[in-house]
Amino acid sequence: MSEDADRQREEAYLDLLGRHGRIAPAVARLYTPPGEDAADLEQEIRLQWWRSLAGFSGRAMASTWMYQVALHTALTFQRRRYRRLRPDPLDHAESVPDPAPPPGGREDRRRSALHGALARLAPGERALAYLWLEECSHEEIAAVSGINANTVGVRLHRIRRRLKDILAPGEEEK
Amino acid sequence: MNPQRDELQELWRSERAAAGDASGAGGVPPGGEAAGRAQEDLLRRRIRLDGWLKIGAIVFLAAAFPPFAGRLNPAVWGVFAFAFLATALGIFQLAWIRSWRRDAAPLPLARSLAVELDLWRRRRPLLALLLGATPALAWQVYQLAYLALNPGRSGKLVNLIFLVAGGPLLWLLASWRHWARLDAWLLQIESALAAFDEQAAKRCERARKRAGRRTTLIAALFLLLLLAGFLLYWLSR
Repeated sequence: MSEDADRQREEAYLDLLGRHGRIAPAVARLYTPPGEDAADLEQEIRLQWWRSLAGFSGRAMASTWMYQVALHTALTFQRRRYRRLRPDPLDHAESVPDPAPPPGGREDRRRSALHGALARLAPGERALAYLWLEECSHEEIAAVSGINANTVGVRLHRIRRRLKDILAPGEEEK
Repeated sequence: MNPQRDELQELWRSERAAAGDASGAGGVPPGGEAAGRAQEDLLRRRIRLDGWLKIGAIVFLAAAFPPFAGRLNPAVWGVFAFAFLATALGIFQLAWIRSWRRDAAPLPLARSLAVELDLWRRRRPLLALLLGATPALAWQVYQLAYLALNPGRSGKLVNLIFLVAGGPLLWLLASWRHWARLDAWLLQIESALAAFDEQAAKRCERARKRAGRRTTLIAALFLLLLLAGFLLYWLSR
């Protein structure tokens, strides 16, 4: 009986991972500089999906649940080490360094600039921006974030403006 | 439709295509007891280690018994009492963190962060006291063992001050330091919550200023305690 339940849980996990597993590396890249930390966060997101699978009733959309767990994991994973007494500065720009401009073409540079701009948002704002970039509806963003759809609209307007302002000088150079 | 939005979303979509959608395929379910690497898991392991350190006092107790056998003065009883206290606190600490739930039901971000904030706020006083107790208990046991082995020195004022005031002061200060660390920890949650809750953003700003002042004060008090200890020791020679 227990073995059957374990197998079902494994199957459900692998099915969800096959459909929405790309969320893990995308969120990891969004919240950590490339390298070991990003791999650790990606692993941690998968672990949290596995751990909280029992609590997923299936009433919510699978993608909504996976965004919720992944972003919550990223927001708490990024927390500074317990040893430190001083809190982080309010400006989170330095928490994730801008990626170095890639040697590729214009498209690669633009993608890199977008990641740089996202890194300069506060972690919570970055979560909203990510969901918007993933083309989630306001209702879905509201379900993931827990704020109402109207407020989502206002926040996203502010965030888009901020992204535009950050990206503007780079655009002018081109 | 906002052209800027479309352009950025297009760019993001092209990145998704470039990265490929294969990243989720071929995954293996992690074991149920797999160790996490998030700061919360690291803190949990640290608290567990601290609990075992306290329980380790029983080893000291067993080793210390033969030299003290036959001369059970108040200092020896003190060593035993504090070592037992450390062990009892260690056992309680391990049992307590074992009861912490790991598999929270998934909630929307604003709610899950608020729940987490509330949870750590409730854990903070006891956790600060328990973690702060370790260096203080070690100091008390050392001080009493020293007096038990050197009965002639128990009349010295400096030893009495170290014994009566040293341990409690160290406990107080170490607990305050852990309180401040937990506060910085809570601020991390609150600043993440700030994007979803404007009240949290205001609280976060106020708490941040308070935390900066407190860090300076704690460092100064630790230094003062150390200097006072040296001064007393020097005066007693």
